[in-house]
Amino acid sequence: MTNAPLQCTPVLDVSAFRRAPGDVMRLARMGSAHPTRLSFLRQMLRRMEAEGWRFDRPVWQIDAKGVGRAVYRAIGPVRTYSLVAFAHDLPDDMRSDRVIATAWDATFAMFDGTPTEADLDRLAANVPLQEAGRITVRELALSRANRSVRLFGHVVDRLSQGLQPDAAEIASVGYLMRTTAVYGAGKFGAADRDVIADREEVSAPFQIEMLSVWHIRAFCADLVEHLAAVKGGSQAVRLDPATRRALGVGNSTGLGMAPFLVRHPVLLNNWMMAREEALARVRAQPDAQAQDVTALHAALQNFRANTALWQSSHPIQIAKLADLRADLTRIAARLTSWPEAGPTPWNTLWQWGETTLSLEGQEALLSLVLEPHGRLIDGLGDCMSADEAQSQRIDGAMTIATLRQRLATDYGWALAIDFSDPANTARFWYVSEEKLEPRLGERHDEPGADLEQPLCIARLIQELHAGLTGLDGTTSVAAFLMQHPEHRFALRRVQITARRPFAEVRDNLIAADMLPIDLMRCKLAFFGASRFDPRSDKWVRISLFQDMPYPQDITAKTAS
Amino acid sequence: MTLQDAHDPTASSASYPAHSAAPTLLSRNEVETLCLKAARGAGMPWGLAEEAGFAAGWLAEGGIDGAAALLAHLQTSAPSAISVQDRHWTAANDAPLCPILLGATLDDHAALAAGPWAAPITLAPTRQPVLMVSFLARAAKACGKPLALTWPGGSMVISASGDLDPAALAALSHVGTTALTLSPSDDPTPRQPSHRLMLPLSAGTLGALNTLALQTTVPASDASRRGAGAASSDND
Repeated sequence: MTNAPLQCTPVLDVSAFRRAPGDVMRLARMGSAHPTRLSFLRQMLRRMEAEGWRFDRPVWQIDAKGVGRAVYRAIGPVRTYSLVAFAHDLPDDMRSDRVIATAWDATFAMFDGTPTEADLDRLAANVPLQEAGRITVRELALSRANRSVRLFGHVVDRLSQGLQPDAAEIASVGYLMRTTAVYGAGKFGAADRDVIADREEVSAPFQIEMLSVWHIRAFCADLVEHLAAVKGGSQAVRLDPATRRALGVGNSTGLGMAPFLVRHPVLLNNWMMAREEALARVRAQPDAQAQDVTALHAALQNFRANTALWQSSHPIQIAKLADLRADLTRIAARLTSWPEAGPTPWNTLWQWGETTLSLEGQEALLSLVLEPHGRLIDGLGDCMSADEAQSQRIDGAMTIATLRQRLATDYGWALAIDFSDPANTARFWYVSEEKLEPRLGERHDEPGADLEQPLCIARLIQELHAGLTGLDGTTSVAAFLMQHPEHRFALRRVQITARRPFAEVRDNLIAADMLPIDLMRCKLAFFGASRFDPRSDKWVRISLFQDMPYPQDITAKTAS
Repeated sequence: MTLQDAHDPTASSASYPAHSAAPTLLSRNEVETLCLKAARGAGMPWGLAEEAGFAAGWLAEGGIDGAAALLAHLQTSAPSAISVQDRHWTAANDAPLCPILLGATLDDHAALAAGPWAAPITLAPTRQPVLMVSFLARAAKACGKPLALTWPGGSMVISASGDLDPAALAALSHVGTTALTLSPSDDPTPRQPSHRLMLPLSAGTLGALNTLALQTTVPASDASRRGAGAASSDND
């Protein structure tokens, strides 16, 4: 729906159907988020289909050991983007998903345009080094991936013998490689976001990163077929289309991602607001058209099939998966008698879900009811990016009285937390000197809390609130900050939130029972990830693009 | 850690190795992130450290070595509050003014009678005054009013669009510490936005900023190592 007019304003009065930020912005609910048709990879696929993008692989120089380089191009109506892939021969004992690893099975850069041989040579000298190399303003992203040792070897073996891989093996892993980092704008010398900010085709969030991962998926499929052909000669076969499509790209994500949503309140607001507006529009519909009801049933069927593949050995996720599957069964049962006669049938269904389903089920229902309504909601995708620099400036003319009012209105949840209870200050976020990665410490047991990162938003807000004690209400914020620059960080957030109701996660991010994976899951769902499989409360694996088209499929009507 | 965005100051790999004695070209985002961390490492409150990153990045994009200016400031200056009397701004402790606190505070006052867009103000000697200009440009653009800036030996007008004469900016970048006067300007001359190439950082600047940035990090402990990564093997 990329040709649709910008629809940031509702077509109906939907205000009665909006969820309150205080309900939406809770960690437990955010940690139950599912991908929707507004997710970033779905937006990318829709655009490419609508605009008739073409795809090719002008370079494939991979040897019999699977080592070499390849280029995958996406050719749009205005510009071309090329994923440059380097395949390596990595000993098993060097394979680690941690961001601190120094070698990978494959490394990638997204090149702006079509690279020359000289570009490829330059990238060959830097991209395999990842963080230790430098890329340039011609590059838009840097990434790397490791093989699933189990599945990759199995698939190559079977194809080389003229056989398709075992369906159960494919289902249990779901990917040939998992990315362990995808670095976007402005990292390691890559182009700043400003460079691409005015390009319509990549203006939605994380489009370059999504394109990288999508091409990595194609590269993985090509690589196993190549190695199978080397091994099996004329006996080897290619992946059958259904198996190929069932393969996603794995993704392994740790604490480094968790702070993102807290660090980017404007983006978080825009993502949430678009999604919530979409839900409100659907709930406000006066009727349920037959084709939309059919589409809802189909979406539920797909959802249940996908969910059947999710596996986890983590106790938290095992319980959540059980909730989800039970709720999907309840939804299926409910749909047998829906829609009944009456106004706003989608709202009737939604309200039933709110009183009947677990958080997992409610958020799944959100994803499901959005699915049939592309024409109504896809334009909201245009509202999800943000010029964050513009929101950084403080409004110094605001008075202390207004500030107090905003605190009371928007941060009551933060002011209510009892920070004298040690459980409410149990954790602290910090960056490790050894590995330069974000970590979460136990404040009362570990040293380092004096070097805490400013992610303890609720406490910073309380400190700001206390700092206002005794001040004249007519005093300007500018005069206050001149004397108290230590409150500048918190005050900026209050001003950002004043115009953006979904900017703040309304939970204590340093509480003993806080789960970082909740933050990660919310962000990953916006990317379009599925198969959430936490490996701890700080580490999660997911799958991207599973059951989605490949570049060569996109010219057909496949993206939706 | 994956799919992280450029603007995440908690992101890993925040240290930019100088590969040789040759200058290293950082993106604006990298300059901002590194300078934010270095400013915090040097003791600035987080909210001001963010402003320090903004100032250095804005200058780097204008072809001025803002990172080096910030480093010079961080290495020599103790933080000092601002005191105002009769439109004269001084440091409370009589030391030179901090250009980050000063610049941000002037920007905060853009719409207020106490600010320089309402009537002239004088500034006591200010260290690395070029760092302050980014805030004045941001404020001029936001309130749509030009501002004149003069110091012994030079002057510039920041236009209502926040643009200014690159030569004047370069001249100010060579001034270590100076007093200045800010006045509302009636100069309507529109200026072209100057698009310069990002300025590379010298190995010395990069190294010293990295050292300061490391002061925001926590040394390893067994507990911290346990808390990182997956609870099970990655190699499956």
